[in-house]
Amino acid sequence: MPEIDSLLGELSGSVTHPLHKRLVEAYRSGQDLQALLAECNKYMQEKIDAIEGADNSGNTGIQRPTDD
Amino acid sequence: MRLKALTTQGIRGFNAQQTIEFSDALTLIDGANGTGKTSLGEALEWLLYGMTFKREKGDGINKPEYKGSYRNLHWDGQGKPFAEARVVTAEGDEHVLRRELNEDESSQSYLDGSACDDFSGLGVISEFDRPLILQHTLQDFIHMAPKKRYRALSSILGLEGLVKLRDDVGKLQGTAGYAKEKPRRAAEARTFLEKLQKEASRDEKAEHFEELLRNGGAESLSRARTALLGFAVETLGSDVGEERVSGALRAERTRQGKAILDWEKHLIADDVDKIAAAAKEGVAVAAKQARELVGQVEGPEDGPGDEASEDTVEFFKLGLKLRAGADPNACPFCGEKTLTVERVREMEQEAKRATGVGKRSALARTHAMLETGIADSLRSWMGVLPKAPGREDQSRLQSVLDGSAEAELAEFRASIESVEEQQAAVQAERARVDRAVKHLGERIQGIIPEDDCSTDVPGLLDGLPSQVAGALAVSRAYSRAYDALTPSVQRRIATQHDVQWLDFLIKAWEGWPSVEIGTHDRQVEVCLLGFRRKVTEFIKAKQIEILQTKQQEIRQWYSEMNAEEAVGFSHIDVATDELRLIAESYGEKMAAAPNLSCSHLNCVGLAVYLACATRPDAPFGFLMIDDPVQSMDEGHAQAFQKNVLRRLLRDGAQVIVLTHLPRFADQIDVVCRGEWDVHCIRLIDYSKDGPIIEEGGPRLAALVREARGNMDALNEAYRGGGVQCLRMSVERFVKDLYVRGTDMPISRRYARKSWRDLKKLLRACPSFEPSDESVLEAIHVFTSSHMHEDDSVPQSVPGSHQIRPHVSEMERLLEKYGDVLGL
Repeated sequence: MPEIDSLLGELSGSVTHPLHKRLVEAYRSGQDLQALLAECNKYMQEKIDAIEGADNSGNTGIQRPTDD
Repeated sequence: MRLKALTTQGIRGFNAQQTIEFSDALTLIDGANGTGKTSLGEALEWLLYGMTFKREKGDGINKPEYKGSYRNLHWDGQGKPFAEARVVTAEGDEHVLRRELNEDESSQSYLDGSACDDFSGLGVISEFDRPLILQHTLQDFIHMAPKKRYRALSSILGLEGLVKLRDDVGKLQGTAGYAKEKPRRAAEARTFLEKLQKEASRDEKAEHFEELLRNGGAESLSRARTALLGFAVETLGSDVGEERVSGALRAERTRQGKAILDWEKHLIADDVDKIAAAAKEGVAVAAKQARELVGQVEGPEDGPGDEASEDTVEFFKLGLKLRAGADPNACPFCGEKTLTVERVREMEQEAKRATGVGKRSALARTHAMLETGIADSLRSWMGVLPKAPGREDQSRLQSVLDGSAEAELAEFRASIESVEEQQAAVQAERARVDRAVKHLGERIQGIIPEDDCSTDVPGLLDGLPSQVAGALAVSRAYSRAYDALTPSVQRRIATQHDVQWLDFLIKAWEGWPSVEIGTHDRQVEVCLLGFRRKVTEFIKAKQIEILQTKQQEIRQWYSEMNAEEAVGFSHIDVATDELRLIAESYGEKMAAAPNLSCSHLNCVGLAVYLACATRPDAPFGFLMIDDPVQSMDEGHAQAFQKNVLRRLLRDGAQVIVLTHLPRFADQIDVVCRGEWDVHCIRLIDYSKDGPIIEEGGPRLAALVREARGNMDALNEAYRGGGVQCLRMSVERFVKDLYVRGTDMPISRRYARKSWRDLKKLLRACPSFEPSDESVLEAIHVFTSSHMHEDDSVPQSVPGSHQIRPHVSEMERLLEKYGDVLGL
């Protein structure tokens, strides 16, 4: 998919959200909506794990929210 | 990818299995209408994409009507209908692409025998990016809605992948996309963040904090957390360290929860002087009104009521009612014959006058007004006094002060007692006044005798202003004590707002992971929005960039078929999501689709497809063109074969031309023969099994071969056919030699094929040796003597010994001029 490569090249050359490049890569491999959705969820889960992981380490002293 | 062969059965016009092999350069397929040319194109289209534009369009018009039309009507063969292509890639790898049709018209594709979803691995991605220029789709591009045209051109410019990416990102942004499918924790955190932000927006102190949350981003979030920590330190009054913030906030929340006291509500009213003045004035006015009212009540009665005796009055006070339908000679109340009805009515009127009903109503109205005025004044009087703390609040106050400000507290308590005494006095006075006013009312109603003296309302009211002044003095004393205590109280008590603020801080601090997750979640959505915009911009920029090149190419292809003309296609306008085809008429611009002729539009359609199909990164190395010169005049058709076709072949494309005009196929054959490998296929008829296909090389050679094949036949009909072929080969030889030798088309006037006309053509051929003219003439004369006028059947069939020398001579000429003829 030369046009996707071209877009990826363009994205690499400009400051964008890290998810942008990941979406292009995901699209290149899956070429459908599900591939994009899976990448968004994967990205979000990584963020959750990183944040919750830090929280679970007990270093921040922050507790779980008690409401909502 | 180049096409080597196509095999199909049970699809469209193909019933029995048939295979067509293609030349690597040019394949000419000619056949009359209805012999299966378009079916061939559709079979290939269906094989590549699992659909055809014709069917898609038909489904849009009337689905039931088109249902089942991929399958051949007569198909009852074994297995599934299918189309299969042998292809070779640019790298030289051979593959077999196959698609089988299911009962429900879905299909299964196979690549080299393995099931696959599509042929995207070979670059077959979009149905718009196609190696097919089919008769019925030629103008589709022209007459598409500008948006669809945009998509189609994006696709055939090689941008379909990007357009699909953009559309998919659009769907991802929608409510059914990421918002619905995201991880549950992200959804919860996002809700938490939104609520926290809303709570922050309600408090002035947290305005900047809310702004930082709204901004998102790592830096804003870090600053928001620092701000939150600052709030905690400020609220707690000391820096407890991050690890203890949560516990300290919770402890403070517990303490303040117990110290909630709304101190402000115990303050005296700001306009207490005004309230006192209003109370005094109200009381004075009420006293005056009461005095007047009492005067009226006690004054002389009006009217002739004096005539009624007390007994009469008393009698009617009992409320006796007349008996309905009573005997006129009997008592109307008890039925006894003591009074007449007339007399009783007279008595009733007298009684009414005596009780002064009209006057009483007026007095009652005045009394009601007085009652309201007094109530308002007494309420104002009460308003002069503060809402002093009750027993519970006093106890909480004492607890909050915890032994401090004892003197001030004692003073305040004393003032509260004075206030309470005043409140009790007001209540007592109010009760007295209310009672007196009530008595006055009852007297007006005549319920109480007039000599009752308990209705001295004016007297009572006269004493009130001095009591209001007393209440004001008490209130001021209270206020002084309140003010004296306030600093000590405010240092220690908590308000509801303070507690809410603490709740907010605890929630934000402890829920900070949710804030971070929620922010990331929000950023994903913002990112998708920005991404779609970026892809759209990228597509547009690419389109413009590609079109700058393609525009030129489209123009060139168009010009190959249309020499400089005053009216014709001009250029393509690119908007964000639309493409507009612009034409020109004597320098004036106009929309192409509604204004150009059908032939011009065909040329535009061809030019667009050709420009895109010949792009360097196009996945297909072959191009199938179905009836390209349809609706073109002779000039345009000549231009197509001489300029377009030869250019395609020169550029290395594999071309398959389908046409219903044998003459057009012959012309192409003659023009291209020798320079490229030309494969001629004729669809000579159509049967229930499908097209009846005749394959062969150049027509001239085929004719001579057929003449030799039939010349020795015992059957006269076959020999006659041989003579006919020999005769046709003479004409074909002359015309082919002329076209190839002069690069000029043959005018229609030579269609009659008399030797005189053919001789003119022959003499114009630079490479023809005059000595060979007599040989050709001899063959022509020989065959003419055995032909009917319409050239169809020999009049008399010569023997094989007569035919053979002429066939041999013809073969010699083919051999001699083979290079010129491209044989």
